[in-house]
Amino acid sequence: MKTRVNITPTDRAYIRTNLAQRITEQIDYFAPAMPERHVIAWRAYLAALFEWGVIEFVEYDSLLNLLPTVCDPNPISDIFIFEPALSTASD
Amino acid sequence: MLTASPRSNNDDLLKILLTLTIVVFIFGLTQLASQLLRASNGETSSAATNHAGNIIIDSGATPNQNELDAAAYLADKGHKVRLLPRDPSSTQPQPDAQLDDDDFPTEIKTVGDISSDNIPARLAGRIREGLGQAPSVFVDARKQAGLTEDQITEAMRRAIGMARDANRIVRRLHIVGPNGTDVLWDYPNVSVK
Repeated sequence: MKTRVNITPTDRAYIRTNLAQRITEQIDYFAPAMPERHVIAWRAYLAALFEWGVIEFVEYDSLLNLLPTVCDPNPISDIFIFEPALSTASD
Repeated sequence: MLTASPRSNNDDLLKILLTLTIVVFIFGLTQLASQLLRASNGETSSAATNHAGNIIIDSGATPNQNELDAAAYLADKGHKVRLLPRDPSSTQPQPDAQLDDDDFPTEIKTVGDISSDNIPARLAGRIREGLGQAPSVFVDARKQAGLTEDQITEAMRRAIGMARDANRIVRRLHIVGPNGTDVLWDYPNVSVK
């Protein structure tokens, strides 16, 4: 799959390590549970990096695995694909 | 001096003819047995089996012309395509096909009528619909005017990203566009062109 930015595998490995460290720091800081608004912010941040090819699926997948899930309605779904008729948004 | 007797020549000719007749007869029987076995398994061959790959239409499958066209494309690319049966009374997802020796089904979607100026968003929406049926989606967008490889990639990333964020598994996305554009994404390997 084509990418839009010129990011090497080395760059992606660095980005993955960097973000994993930052996410883990915050998970530890907020223990026992990261507030959901922080979770949403992190997931949206990662979503943008994946959508525009800064990170690939392997990095995206491994970074999402560090974060808690978001309850429905999940705004990340609407960021990726917004179809008003199918929106999960409650308002 | 050795001379061939006319009687001996005739015997040899008869033996050859007899052998050929037996071979042709056995071949015919084998073909007939194969057809009967396929029929007993609920399979029927179709004109589409002329393609480089193979298309099997299961008994109970009701593919429309778009699905047959998509199956023919995949078969031409060397895939074995099995079109799956439908149960009109079922409310469960009913994927259209199974490819090769996959242990998961594939949903076939045809796109050609997107008039929005935001083609990637609408295409991603169609992929999302397909993912509701199966973890693998093939989109035949060969008739979608103006669709570019960049737009296909954007749509795929949005659909894959959304599915992954929602903890849904995507096994494969395969989209073909106009002018021979063909983009494949397989889990977990992401190929970068």
